[in-house]
Amino acid sequence: MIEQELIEKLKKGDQAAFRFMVTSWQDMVYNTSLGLVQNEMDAEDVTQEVFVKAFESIHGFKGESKVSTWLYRITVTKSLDFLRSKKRKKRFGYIYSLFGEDNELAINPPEFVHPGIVSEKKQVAAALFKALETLPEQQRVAFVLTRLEGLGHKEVSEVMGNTVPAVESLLQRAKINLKKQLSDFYRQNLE
Amino acid sequence: MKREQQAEQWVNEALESLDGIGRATANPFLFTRIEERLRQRNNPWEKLARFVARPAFALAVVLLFLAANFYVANQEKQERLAREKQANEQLFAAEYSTSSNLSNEFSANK
Repeated sequence: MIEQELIEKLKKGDQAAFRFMVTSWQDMVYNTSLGLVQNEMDAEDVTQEVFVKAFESIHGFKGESKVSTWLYRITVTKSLDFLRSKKRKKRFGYIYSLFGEDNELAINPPEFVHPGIVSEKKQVAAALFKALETLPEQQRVAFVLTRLEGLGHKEVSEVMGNTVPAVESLLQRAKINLKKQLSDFYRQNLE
Repeated sequence: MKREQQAEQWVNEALESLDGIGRATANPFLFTRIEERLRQRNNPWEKLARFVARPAFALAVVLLFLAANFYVANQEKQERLAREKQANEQLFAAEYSTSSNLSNEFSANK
């Protein structure tokens, strides 16, 4: 099904077209979200939200970009919204716990390991994902889209609404920050 | 020095650990779950709950509450002023009427 035809059918509320869209792009959305939120259940929740949002806002989609680019944009927005809300909840949980309320602090999940990583690299990749959490949002998004989804700089710039040099700069800074974080982490381990 | 080299090697290994990474696959029942979520979202009670849960709605309620309080306080103040004014007028009228009676008596005696 060509994209234009798909969009027309989606705008008419065609269920088969919606199913086609979900099955065609679900792994792309899930993988991107997983890279950003680093939790399988949360990533699935975000993926569902992405497709619900896509279904509800298809009338606003003008077809100026590819469907995949549009879905990437929704995924990034929803994932970052999710992370912000999680951070807020964690902060409130901490404040409540200070005042002796019956709210438990959010337990930090175990180290995240991406399911697509080969077993012998899992331990080192876990350190990388931990360091990834410390990056500013824009750097993290650029890194995930490039390294986990294998997008080119031009595609990343279209998703992020930036120029190609801006994306290159984000990736450069992301790499420097990751190196610094990892270096600190390993030096502490060696001491 | 050896430690530095070791750390550097681990950093490089970590950065290269994503080379050749496979794509994570979504749950096979994802579509059914999305359909269920859409059904829930179209439920009028769910819609109402989502509307009420909006921060803008909470802000509007607070503003409305403050406006109502201000209106009631202002109304009470206006009523109190009106009552005071009326009382002053009555007092003045009573005083004036007394003094005019006195002056009438005075002119009659004359």
